[in-house]
Amino acid sequence: MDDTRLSDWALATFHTTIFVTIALTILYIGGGLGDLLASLNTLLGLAGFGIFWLLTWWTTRQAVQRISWAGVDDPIPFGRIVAYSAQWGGISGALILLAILVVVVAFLLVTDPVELVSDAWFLALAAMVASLVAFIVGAVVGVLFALVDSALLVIVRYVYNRYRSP
Amino acid sequence: MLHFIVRWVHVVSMAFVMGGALLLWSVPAQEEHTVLWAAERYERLFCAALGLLVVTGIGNLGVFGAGLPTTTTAWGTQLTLKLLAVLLFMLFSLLRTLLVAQLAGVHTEVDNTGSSTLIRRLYAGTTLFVIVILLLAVSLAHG
Repeated sequence: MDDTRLSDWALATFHTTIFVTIALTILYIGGGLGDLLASLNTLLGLAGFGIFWLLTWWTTRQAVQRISWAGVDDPIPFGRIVAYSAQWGGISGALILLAILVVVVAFLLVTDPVELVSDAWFLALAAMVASLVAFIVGAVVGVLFALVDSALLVIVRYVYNRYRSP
Repeated sequence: MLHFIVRWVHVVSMAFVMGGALLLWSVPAQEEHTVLWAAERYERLFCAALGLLVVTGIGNLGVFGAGLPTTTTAWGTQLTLKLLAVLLFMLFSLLRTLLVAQLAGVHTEVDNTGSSTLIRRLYAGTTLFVIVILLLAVSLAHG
C-alpha cells in the first residue's frame, strides 16, 4: 500500500484534529466554551467539522504532492515544506471561510432574501476582505504545522535509522 | 437519541483505538510481515477514529451547554488535563503513524526484527497512553 497516501491521510487528519483540540482547549481555559456550545446545533457542528476535515485533507494532499519526500538518508527539504505549507495553509483558510459564507448566504436566501439582495455589494466586499484575512491566518497556521511536522520528521528518521540495522 | 449516538460513536472509536494497539503490541517480534501489514491498516482506521473521537468529544461537551463546569472546579481541572493529554497523544500518534508509513514504504525481504521491536514498543506506548486518557474520561463521566 502506498505509504505516501498514508502520510497524506495522517497529516491531514492530525492537522484537523490538533487544530480543533487546541482551539477547544484555549476556549475552555478562557471561559467561553460553554456559551459557544450552547449556541451551536449538533448536526451543523458535525457537518462543519466534516467540511473542515475534507478541505484540510485536500490542501494537505496538494502540499505533500509538491514536496518530494526524500529517501530516509537524504536531506529534509525544510524550505519547501514551509513554503508549500504556507501556500496551501492559506488556501485552506480561504476555502474554509468561503464554505462558511456559502452556508450563511444559503441561510439568508431562505430566511430573508430581500435583505440579502439589498446587502449584496457589502457582503461581497466583506467576503473578499475576510478571505484575505483567512488566507493569512491559514498561512501562519500552515507554517506552524510545517515546523511541527519537520521536527517529527527528524525524530522519525532518527528512530528509523536506530532500529533498521539487523 | 442524537446524543446517545454521539456518545456511542465516541466509545466505539476509543475501543477500536485501544483494542487495535493492544493487539499490535502482542504480535510476536518474528512476525515482521504480519505486524507491518496490520499496522499500516490500523493507522488508516486510527486516523478515522481520531476524527470521530474529536467531533463526538465536542458533542459530548455540548450536552452541558452553558452549564459546562469551569476550570476553577475539580471537574474542570480534570477536563483540562484530559484535553492536554489528548493533545500529547495526538503528537505521539502522528509520530507513530509516520514511522509506520516509513517502515511500510521501505519494507524489504530481509528478516529484520528491529522493525517489529520498534512497532511493538510504539503500540505499547499507545496502549499505556490510552489507558491514562481512559482513566481521566471515566473519572469525568462519574462526576
